[in-house]
Amino acid sequence: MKKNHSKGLFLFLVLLQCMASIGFAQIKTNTAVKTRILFMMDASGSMTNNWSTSNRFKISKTVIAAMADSLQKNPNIEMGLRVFGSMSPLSVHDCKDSRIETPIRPNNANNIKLKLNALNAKGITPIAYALEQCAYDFIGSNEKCRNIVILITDGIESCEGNACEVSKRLQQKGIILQPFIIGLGLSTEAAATFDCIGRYDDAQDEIGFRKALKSTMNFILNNTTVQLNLLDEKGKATETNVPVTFYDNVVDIQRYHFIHTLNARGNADTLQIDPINNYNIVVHTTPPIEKKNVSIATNQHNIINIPAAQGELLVTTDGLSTYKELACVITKANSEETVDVLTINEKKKYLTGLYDVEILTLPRISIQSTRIAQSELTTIKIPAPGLVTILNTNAVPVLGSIFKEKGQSLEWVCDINGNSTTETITLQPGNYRLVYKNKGSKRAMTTRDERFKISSGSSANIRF
Amino acid sequence: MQKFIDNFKSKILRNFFCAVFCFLFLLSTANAQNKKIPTRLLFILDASGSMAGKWQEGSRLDAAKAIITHMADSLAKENISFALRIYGHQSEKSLIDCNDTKLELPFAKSTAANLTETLNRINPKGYSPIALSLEQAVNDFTLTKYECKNVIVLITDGFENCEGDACLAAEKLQSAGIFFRPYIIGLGLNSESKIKFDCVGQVFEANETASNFKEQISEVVISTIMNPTSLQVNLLNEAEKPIETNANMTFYDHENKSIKYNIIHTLNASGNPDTLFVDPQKKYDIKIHTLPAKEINNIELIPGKHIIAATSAGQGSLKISINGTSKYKNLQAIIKQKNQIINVQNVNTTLNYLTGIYQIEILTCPRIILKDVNILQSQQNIINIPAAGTLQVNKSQPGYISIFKREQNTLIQILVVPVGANKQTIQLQPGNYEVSFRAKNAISNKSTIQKKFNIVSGIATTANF
Repeated sequence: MKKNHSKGLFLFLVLLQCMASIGFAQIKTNTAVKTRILFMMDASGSMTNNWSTSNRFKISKTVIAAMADSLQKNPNIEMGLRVFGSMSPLSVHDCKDSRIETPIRPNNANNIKLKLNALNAKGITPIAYALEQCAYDFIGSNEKCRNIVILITDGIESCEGNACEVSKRLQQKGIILQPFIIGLGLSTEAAATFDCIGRYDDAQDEIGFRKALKSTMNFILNNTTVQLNLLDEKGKATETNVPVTFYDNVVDIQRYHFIHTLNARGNADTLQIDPINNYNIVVHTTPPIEKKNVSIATNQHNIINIPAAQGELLVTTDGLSTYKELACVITKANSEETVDVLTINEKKKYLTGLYDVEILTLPRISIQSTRIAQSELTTIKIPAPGLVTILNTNAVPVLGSIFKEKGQSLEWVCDINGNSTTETITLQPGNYRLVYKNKGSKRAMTTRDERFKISSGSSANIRF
Repeated sequence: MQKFIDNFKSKILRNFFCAVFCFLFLLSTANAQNKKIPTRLLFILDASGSMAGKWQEGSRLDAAKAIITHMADSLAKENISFALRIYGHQSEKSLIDCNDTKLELPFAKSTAANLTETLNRINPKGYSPIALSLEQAVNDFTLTKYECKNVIVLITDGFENCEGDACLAAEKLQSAGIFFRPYIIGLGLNSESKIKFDCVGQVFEANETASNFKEQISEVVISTIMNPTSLQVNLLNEAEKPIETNANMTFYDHENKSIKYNIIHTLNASGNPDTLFVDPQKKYDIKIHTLPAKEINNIELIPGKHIIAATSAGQGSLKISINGTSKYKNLQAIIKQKNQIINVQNVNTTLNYLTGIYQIEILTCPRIILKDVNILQSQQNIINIPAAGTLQVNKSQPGYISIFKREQNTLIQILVVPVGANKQTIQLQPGNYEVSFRAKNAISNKSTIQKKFNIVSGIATTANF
């Protein structure tokens, strides 16, 4: 009886724990994805030089240990430690002197502190090599993880490596986000060499170092949101339902992609966003809108306004008979680049403005400067076509073309297939001529000129 | 099929004659002043019912008779023998007699007196079997041992109204190499008939308002016969050789810009641009309907001379084809030059273009854009595009769907599926794609579902949302 009771209690506790963890897991996915932080610490000879109250190496150990302790409380964070310059003395000039001291894992603060205590500063500063190696430290992380390198150093690259290139490559591959660098007592010139590697922060003493590391962590971990307003012509955020892509501004990879949505209150829905990098935002309207190099303020609700006023366009025919699958080529007025190909009888949204529409009927219809207006449907009606049927009863191949009479001149419309016995061609209403001759005829003057008229919905026959 | 082969055989035969004829013809044009070759002229007179129509004080037939009489008189001075065939004069209109054509006055009996006698007993009656008259005219010219210049002058007020094909009959006459292109004297022809006669022969119109119309027309026609005025249009390839051909040429009147003739450029049996006979009284602007078109403006003919007009028109061909069976409906390609649309070419066809650089936009999904397509002289530029694959998008609820092409890291939206449709099949070129879906009534960005696809030629892929 007692046993049963305790079993029941145990089950209850497990259930409770499960529920709690489920609830927790949900909060987790709603607030932030997992962040993996790799401290990359300089253990080169120069780190033992006197600095501030003691020396850089000792201070670094203390500051990193304290930060590791405080981060451990956040269940979304995993940490690791990599150092460089700790194995070979300066004289050896070991450009491969870097290793992972504590692989990235959850609940890792104690392991990191143990390793820190055991470390000695000895060698040179192979930053590029160390950065390259950290790709292996993040193996096994899934796409949703934010992989962050925090480089703490008091010197510049001492080997041949190009840390800028390495950084960019790792970002492009999606292995890491833009690295953070904290420079300990670096000169302005030395500090400038880190600009292309990542976000640089300067520390001239222990207090400065603590501040820099804390603000870096705030930057990384705080809750930053974006509300992307797509504005209509009145400047109101009513446009929506178009896909939006946020590209990383530094490495041009896709960070966020969603179909723009208004929430239950009718406002643009909020997006949790990583403030580490700047973004190029593409709104996939027709034509698309690109807003480049948008910076995001950390720990804030960022409102980004992009004008994206749209209206609709429809190309259709008068009357009953119509075309199937007729293409209408849309270009911006006075521009040549095709914006879109619209199919007849299909409505589609375009940004407001003036467009040229080339309808691929026979002959083509060119409509210049059609206005697409805010929230309005612009309808282009073209005359319904008629048919001409060409019957070649002589069974002799002919060479021929159809021309449209346009005022006093003739405009080439199309060639006929002179080898087939029957050919039907769909034409816009108007007066036409079929000019043809027998293919084998060696006399130009045997050319014939047959006039015919096409009206909407009717058909004409030509026999020869 | 047998008919076609026979046709073909006779064509070879005809072409052979034609070659002989052309040679002689070129000789004769080269020596237009040299009148050693005797000329024979056959009048074909329209005496169909419509010729009873009014012309000045009398009928059209009266006018026609006056013209023939006057011309016969002038011909005698030029030492030209003549004959007279008449159609539509034997049977009444109600009989619809399409065999009503007869050689009334053979070359052997053509005296002024006989002509007057014959013309006097003719009244306008029946139908206009022009084609049949032209066919039978072959036999009106008796065979001679010496070389002759054989000419037909048709005097009429309207086109064929039997089933015959007057153009074809005229073509056969000329192909046989015995006859020159007929001359037509029109009496009040309507504009439609005038155009129809262009393929039969050279049309001259008698002027009803002129009291001396018969003298006027006789002089023009006889001088044209004696000293044919002709034109040759040379379409030059890049080596400046006149061997480009088959383009239609529209002749506009240089003065009033009206359309005068449409003539498809032809190389004759000797491989030279065929000689054209157009009204020598006019100046022409010629538009040659190559792709893009060429123009030769302000061409002036010189009576009695053979004029050559030329333009560079080097051509190559462009073939756009799609591998395998295309599931696109009516796939087209826009051919541009200097941002102007030159043509819209259907995929899986071949067309000629003037040599040069073109931009091509093939309306696949996504579009394929080729910036510098070079068309070279006499060469075929073949553009092969891969076959599309199929993507079927199924929605379990109404929603927004966009299809993106992924190029490296960039997404390019290529298609928006209508909100309501629950199923859509799309042809896509091979490549990497992403499809985004969001339910219509969702209220969060996070409801967006993104799926990645690799489209392979000829393979169907399904995306369920």
